[in-house]
Amino acid sequence: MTSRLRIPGLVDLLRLDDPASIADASEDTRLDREFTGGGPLLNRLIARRIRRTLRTPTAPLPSVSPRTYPRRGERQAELRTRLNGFVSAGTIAPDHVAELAAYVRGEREEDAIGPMAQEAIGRLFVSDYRATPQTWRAACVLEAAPRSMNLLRTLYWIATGAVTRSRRVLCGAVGDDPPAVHATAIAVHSLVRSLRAMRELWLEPGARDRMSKPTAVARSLRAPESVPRRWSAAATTKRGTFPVGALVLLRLDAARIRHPEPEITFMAASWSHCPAGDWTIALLGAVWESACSSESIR
Amino acid sequence: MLERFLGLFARLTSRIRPWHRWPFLVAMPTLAGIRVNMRESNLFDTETSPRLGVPPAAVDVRNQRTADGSYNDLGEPWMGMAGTRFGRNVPIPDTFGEQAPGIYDPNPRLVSIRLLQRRTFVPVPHLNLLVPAWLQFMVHDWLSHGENDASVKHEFEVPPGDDWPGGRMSILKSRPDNRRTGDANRPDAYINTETHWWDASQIYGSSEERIRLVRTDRETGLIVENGKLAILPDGHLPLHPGHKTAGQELAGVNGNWWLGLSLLHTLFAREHNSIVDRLRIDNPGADGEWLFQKARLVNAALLAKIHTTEWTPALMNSPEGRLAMRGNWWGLLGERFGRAYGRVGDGELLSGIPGSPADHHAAPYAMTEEFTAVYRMHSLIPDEFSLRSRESDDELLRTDFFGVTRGKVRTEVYPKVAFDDVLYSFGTSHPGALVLHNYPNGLRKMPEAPLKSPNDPSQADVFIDLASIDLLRDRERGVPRYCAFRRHLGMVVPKSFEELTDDIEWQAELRDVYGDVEKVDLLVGTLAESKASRNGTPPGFGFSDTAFRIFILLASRRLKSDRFFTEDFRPEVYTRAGFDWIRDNNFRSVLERHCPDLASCFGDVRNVFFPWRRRTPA
Repeated sequence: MTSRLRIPGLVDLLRLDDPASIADASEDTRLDREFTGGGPLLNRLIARRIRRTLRTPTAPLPSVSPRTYPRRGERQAELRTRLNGFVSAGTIAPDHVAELAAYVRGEREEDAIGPMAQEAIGRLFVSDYRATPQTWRAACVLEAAPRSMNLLRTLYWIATGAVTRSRRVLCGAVGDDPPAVHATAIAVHSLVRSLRAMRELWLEPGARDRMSKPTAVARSLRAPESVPRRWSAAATTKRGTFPVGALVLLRLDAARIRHPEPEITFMAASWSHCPAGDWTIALLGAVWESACSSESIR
Repeated sequence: MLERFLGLFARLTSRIRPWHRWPFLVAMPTLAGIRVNMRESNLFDTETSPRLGVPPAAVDVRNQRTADGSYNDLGEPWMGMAGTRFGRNVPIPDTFGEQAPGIYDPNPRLVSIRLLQRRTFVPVPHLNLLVPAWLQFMVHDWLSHGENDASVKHEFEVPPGDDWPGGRMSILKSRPDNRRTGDANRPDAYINTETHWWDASQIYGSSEERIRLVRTDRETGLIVENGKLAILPDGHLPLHPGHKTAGQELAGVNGNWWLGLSLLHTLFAREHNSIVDRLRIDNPGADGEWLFQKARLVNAALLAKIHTTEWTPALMNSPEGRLAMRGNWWGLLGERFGRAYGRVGDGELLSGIPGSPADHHAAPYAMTEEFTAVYRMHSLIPDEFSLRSRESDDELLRTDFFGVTRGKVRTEVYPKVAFDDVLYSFGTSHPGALVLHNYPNGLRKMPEAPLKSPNDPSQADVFIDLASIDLLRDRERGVPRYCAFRRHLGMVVPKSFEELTDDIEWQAELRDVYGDVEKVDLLVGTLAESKASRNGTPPGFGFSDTAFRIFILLASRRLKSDRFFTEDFRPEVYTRAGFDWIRDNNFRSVLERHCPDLASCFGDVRNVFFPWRRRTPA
């Protein structure tokens, strides 16, 4: 459902979770990922948080880079080609599939999944990437920081410098490469939620005997909970009239339960599509397959 | 704002106990809030490439219902029309059909034998046999999955010791809709061959062709020119010309025909003709086509009103249940206020849904697979029928279920038992209770030949077990099993068989068959719930709370989405006389009009779906 929170001068935030609205919003060139400039007070604070948190020392992360950011599109296409190469070659996280499968089967503790998934993703960018409790904690902080409305937690982070420290840890682990930071800090959480869902499916009595691998993947796959956009120009749309600086949250995972297609989960038809869509689906499939084949060996 | 408050209120109260264990003044807003939440969270569209239709030629789509249900929603003409997909009440990714081997676990025939098989008939003493007849009459209006896929079958062994012919069960699979652009990564979806709307398509049909057929005089071969339905001089329905089953009566939908359907189809075909007579008084110059279309509108609305204000409250026989359903039609202000002063505002809370603005909420209108599943109520049907005289109560015919099905209605029953006597018998007999071990055994070993190939002797030994089919259909169409289903509806989920049902014997049987409560089928769970004191069937209800959640959502939606029950529910569309007909009539008056001899039998019952007075022998 569409909902808008608007208090003139203070906040103007539109939340979209129906697929048609999300598709429209993606196509609207006035909606961008430029988190600078004016707007209501809270909007400016949120935009500033996004801008300052989700970046490397020299560049914004891909998920918050504006359309016209230099070489944005090229780098996105390059990464997609490289990741799809792994898919074609059948080399999807070979060092991690078995462990992820063990987690899905319930043979690993619940809190093991975060670092496991982070390391599997990190290895796509750095061949000896090692996830540690520190890197995982850093990813949790960096993912929560831009959107947290918990004042006490935010003050704690400010006081302790947790966000800066987290960013330093994550950037340092991948040589400040923005896509790699995004993948190991932000995108990893969608993968973790997907694997948690897959574990629940596995452990549901009788469920795994009733579903094929594609079904298990489709039922497990989780989209980012929300992705932010900002009106860079005033706009009148069928959802209302929006000033410059109004924010939009595309609630992809809420939309996914109505439209589980890649166009929603990975925004596949959009300029801001996730380049790791095919790789993610392949990874989940490999994990399920590994879980099933390991079970049948016993 | 009010809706948000109600939704939040329902979430809070439901955390503590289910709605029916709260006092009335808490239960009612909780129910309203449950509906608010479900309208937002439990409606999902499966159409990815809806067909864009062309307005039917020479049809006034603004003021009449179309044959195929198109153009009810003028902005999305395809919505609810025959041939569109069933929607869902659970998230799309959770509706993938079950696959082998798990789809046969546990063996459906085992469940049929161990948990569903009727041991002794368990009646519902406060309802009469018109209840299941009406239910199927309505279901035939709303939905059908059409023919199954003759090329693909479920095949599985029956349990050891089962005397099922051949030792194996073979069941045709449901036919999914063809995959379309936009269906990637999505589960199969299924087509509703009837209109989804509450438009009496069971009487009239869901196509121009069928409508022409039910309007055609068998003698002349022409459409009855005064707008009436073709009925025989003796008041019975005509026979379906060329039907493979001898004696099959004709109706808009006449599959799975039995005596109960015959009663209601006959009554409401007569009612259509009575409405035509009334409309012609005010409109003497109107042509037959106009009269037919207006009478259809009125008849359909009357059916909807009866279902909402009489049938459903009979099965939800508690103060909350009655108010909830009557409130859907008349609002909290009630019938008397509405008759005296009309609607107050646009909202549905005070003055009911009819006449309020249409709203599809979270998804385009469609019947749903989950609704189909919770309406599997075959346990309502008895195995034996005692047809008695309305004058003396003497038994005229005793037969089993086969004896009252298909062509036998006309070839075997009506020749021996007059229509009014059959109706009297239904009014004074009881349906079965929706509990375990009460599934009619006649439906568990039904000869298939009369259905498919009545003239083929090689098919004489082919049977179907409808109980097994009920289970398998839900599984193959991806309707979640009982615990997952309740989870999706935000209901408390039993963690053990002891929490599912209080009956100790049932607990043991369920454990033996399923092993784990998470594997319990939806149908079985809703029947087991009948004996669960904490989170089970509400007091006074004839069906489970699980099923009820879908009912309160879809019962309202059938009205709230339909332009002819909302914005166009007004005299300008129905005619003044037609509008008054709906206001002034109910099932009692329909019965009085067409079966006046029986009036003394149901005259003093509060609801004509309650047992009528039996004649005492002279």
